Amino acid sequence: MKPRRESWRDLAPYVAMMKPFLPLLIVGLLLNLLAMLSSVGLVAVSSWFLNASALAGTSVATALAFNYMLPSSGVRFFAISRTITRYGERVITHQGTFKLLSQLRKRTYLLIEPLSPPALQHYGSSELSTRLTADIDVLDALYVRVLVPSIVALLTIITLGVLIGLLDPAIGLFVALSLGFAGTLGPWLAWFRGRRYSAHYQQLDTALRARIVERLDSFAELSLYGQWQQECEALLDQQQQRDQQQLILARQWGDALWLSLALLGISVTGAMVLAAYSATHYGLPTTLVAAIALTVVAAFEAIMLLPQAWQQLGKVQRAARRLNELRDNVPSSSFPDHDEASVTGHQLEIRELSVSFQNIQVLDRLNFSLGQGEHWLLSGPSGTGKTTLLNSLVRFVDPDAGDIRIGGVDIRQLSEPTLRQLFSVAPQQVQVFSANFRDNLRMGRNAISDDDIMEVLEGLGLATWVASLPEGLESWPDESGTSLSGGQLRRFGIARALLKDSPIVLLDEPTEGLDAATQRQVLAFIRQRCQGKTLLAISHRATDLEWFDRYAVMDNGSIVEQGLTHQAINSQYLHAMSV
Amino acid sequence: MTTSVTDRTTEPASTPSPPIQDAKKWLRSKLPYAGRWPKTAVAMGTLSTLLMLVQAYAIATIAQRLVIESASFAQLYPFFILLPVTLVLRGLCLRAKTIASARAGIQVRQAVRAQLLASISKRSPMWVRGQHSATLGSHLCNDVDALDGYYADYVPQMYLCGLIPLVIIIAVMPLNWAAGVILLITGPMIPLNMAMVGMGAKNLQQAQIVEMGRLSSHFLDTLRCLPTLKLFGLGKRQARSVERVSEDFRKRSMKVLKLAFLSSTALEFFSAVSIAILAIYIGFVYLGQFHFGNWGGTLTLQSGLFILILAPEFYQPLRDLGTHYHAKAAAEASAEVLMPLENGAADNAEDESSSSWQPQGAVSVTFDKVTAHYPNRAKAALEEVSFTLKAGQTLAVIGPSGAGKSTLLSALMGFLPLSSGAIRCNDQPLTALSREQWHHSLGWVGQHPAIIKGSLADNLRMGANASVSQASLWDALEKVHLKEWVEHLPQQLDTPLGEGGQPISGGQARRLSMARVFIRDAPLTLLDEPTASLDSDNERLVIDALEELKQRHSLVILTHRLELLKLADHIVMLDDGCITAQGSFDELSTAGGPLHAVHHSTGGAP
Repeated sequence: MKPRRESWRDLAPYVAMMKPFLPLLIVGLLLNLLAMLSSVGLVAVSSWFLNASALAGTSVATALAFNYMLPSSGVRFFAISRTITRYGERVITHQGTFKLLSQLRKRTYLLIEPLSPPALQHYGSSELSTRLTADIDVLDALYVRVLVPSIVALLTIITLGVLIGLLDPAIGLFVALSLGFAGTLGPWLAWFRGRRYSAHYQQLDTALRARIVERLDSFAELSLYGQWQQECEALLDQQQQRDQQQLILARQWGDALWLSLALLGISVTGAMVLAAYSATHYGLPTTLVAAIALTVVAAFEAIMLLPQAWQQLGKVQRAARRLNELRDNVPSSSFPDHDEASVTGHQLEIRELSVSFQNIQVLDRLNFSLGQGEHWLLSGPSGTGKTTLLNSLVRFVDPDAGDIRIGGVDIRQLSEPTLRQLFSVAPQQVQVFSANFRDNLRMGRNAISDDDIMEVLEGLGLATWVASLPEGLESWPDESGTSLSGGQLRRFGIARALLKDSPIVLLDEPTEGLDAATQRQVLAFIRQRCQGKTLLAISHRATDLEWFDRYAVMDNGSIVEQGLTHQAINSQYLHAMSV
Repeated sequence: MTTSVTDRTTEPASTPSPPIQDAKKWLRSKLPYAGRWPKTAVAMGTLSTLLMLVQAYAIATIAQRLVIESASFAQLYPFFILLPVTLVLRGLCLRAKTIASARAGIQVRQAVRAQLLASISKRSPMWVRGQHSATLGSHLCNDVDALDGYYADYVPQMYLCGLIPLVIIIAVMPLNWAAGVILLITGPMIPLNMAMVGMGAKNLQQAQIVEMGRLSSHFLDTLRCLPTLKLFGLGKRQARSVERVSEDFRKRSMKVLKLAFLSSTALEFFSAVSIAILAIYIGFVYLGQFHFGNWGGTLTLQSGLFILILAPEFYQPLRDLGTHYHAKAAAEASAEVLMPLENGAADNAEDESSSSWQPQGAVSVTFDKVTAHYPNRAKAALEEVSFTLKAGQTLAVIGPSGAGKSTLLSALMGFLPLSSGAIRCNDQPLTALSREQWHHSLGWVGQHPAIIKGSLADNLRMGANASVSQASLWDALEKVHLKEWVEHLPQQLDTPLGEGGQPISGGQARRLSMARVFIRDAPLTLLDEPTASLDSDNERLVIDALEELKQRHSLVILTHRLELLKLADHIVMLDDGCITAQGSFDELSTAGGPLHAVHHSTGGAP
């Protein structure tokens, strides 16, 4: 994937996604603005009150005439409104953001879902997981840390400029312009300069996380081979590189703070110079000079944090770009929404099927027909495309040429739910979820009773294994199902497939890793359970033959021999393979 | 209903152990790693406050001159210069403080992560395997990074919370004692209030960390198992589960945040109220309504305004501490997760054996009445298992699935503590060897080969005890029949593997792991179904290679394959954790022997 420079357009879909939550977000924004203005108001009114009362206090007459009711109640009002609006703003803003994030997570998952397993393997599942969680979390900064503070700062500057402008237009204009300049320059520099480093930081951080998870996965072998120490050092090295970028970012943030305070110095001094000049020459009340200066200082709070927010913006843009790229690279679902034809019968016809990966021909004009209710054993050397054939049947792989028909209907005319309903599949790699064994076997089909489950487990010789579990079917697997041995895991996958009552059953190496006695038991049970169903099983083991009606041999991506199993004794291919 | 499949991501086996020591103590014990940086940050923060006094003085003086003394514009010049200069200098102080803080956080996190990785290396792989790798990974990533705020912000801010108000009180008291008293009274209420709210927030925060771990393992689980979900038609429906887990996360986070915001709101309130009280008090003094607090003198506008400008600064460090308080709570919650990782590594404590253990050639292995249990299982996984593997011989272990074959290998590798009995190698009890020494003598082909991110050559060299030439890599690849495949890859030995690299099939991964064994050339090699997933041609050639390996080394093979049984000098039959029979292949397959039936039924195609 070529890294593309992120642009503003990348953010558009996420800004658009805010629409349903707009009322909530606008209320949050308004509360934020009110909190900011209350805070400025408190400082402005109290410092003016001090100046005015000090001036009035110079003589007893003016002191008595001074109306202190209005300013003192203003001071109290702002003190309380600042507290209330600040709390409300925080709660509402975060509520809105989290709701936005839930939607985003769901959408991103739906984006990834159509990826076929080979494509998933290309991305790597822990990398994808990092993307889903980290990138989406970063996007919350877009609203909370970038959009809201920027808009609030802008509105605060405008309000202030207008209010001070009512007292003296020149000072109002200066304050608005200088604050506007400070509020633009710092953030822009932080965003522009920080973009490169924070991009680099995030890359290094993602890589570090992915690597840590990966290394923990293979800890046993790494530890046994004395590689763990080395891996640790490499990880710490990687960490140091990442932290170096963080330090650069901290330095930039420090620069931005320094620049902000320097600009504050210019704004405050400038406003004070203008006010003092206006007071000494044009009759502006002198009591307002300090109040104007302190108002500028208070308003600077709105601007002070903007550089850091905009440093985040680069991060947000990159997260958005990556999510967009993922969206663009996922092939649009090729399943029709509704069935375009209905199947009659469950026979399979595969015609001239060709599949290639990275210019290597895996299936080469393969022709194969399976009659309804027939039980087939598919054999052949490894790497000849047997698993690819199964993947093509369930449309995990789309062929370059040729077609596959079920009951006379091209599988490309079937909707995904219909196709999934037609097949029960036990793949070679059995994936066990972090859920109890019952849920792992039912796979969402909650109508399946424990009796059904136990019947199948017993048939596959797993009854004693269930009995050995501390909580029976309620027990939970360790990660990757390591509490099941290789042969048990294989049979667990078969059980899961057999419990799914579909007319066509596909089993990839069902007897691999089983001892002879278990092998016979498993095959006998499969045969009985799949009576009347179309069955295709892959196996290397010649001893499996007797449990099937027909056999086919695959080599170099096509079927090279097929026949009835009782005639297989003459097969040269099978002879070559038998023990 | 579909969501029930993956919603519960807790594993009963991995409930966190109770905190062994105080998280606060633990955090404090790591402070020295931050070096001088926290002190630098504190110094810069204090200096910035001193400059703040000058800034307040400048503004207050301008007001005094203009309002009370009716000064001319020109008389104000010195203050118009003083004001921006102090602000520029304050900016420099803040810059230095920011950088010092970042350094403090980085140094501690680097040290802690190094310690954790080192302590994991002492752990049994059984323990690591029992953890969800995403959860453990998230502890190592997120929880260590969560410590940052404590050292970078919280600790320096703690000191500043003592120093800055002190500086301000010292500046205010001589001018007006009543204002000083107002600050002194409202000041201590803030940390008190914060502590109360903070305590509740901490528990919730900890719950949130658990939730965060669940969120991450839920995603990883969902993605890892996506092919299976799709095969069962659950792919699209799972989106709802993703949304719901995320919404749960939102609800839990909001609970924490609402409390967190409450404590910062309390601070805002105190700060705002005391500014209001001070403003009204000082104003009323000017108007002649109040007559106390001035040490008997009069309060000038300059002094009054100076006090008012400083008032928000008095609360500012406490407000900042409020924002860092949650970084502290997060760090404490993370510390409680990290402490057991660091401290609990004692389950494989071993005395570093001084005897030099460097067996040449093949070794012998004896199991003497070995009994072992898995944690949390009452039933013995191995019971009174005894056998001997002579040096240079090959032992095959057979038995139905789940009979304890994998357990036997785990025990032999020293990954499973024995309840009773002993395992000896060349008459030396394994317990007398350090695990590292022992593992140097072992080769291993497991059922889940480790494919590391790196080139194919890196993956092959992973098992090497010595440096390996390219030629021996190709030689090993040839022995496991991957040579042709590698030759066809455009980058050959430099082909990247692992996530995002060249996809590799289960069979290829197994053979790659086999190739490592040839490269490692260890005196004892353990093989778990070495020929599984290989077709008969390749199986034949692998057996040839194994026969070659057998010439120099002892082998332990778990297998069902007759061909491999024929290769073995001694066969142990296991069932339910006990040995049911042992002997040579010929002994066991005589008429009436336990292998007789197997031999004859597996013999050929019907």
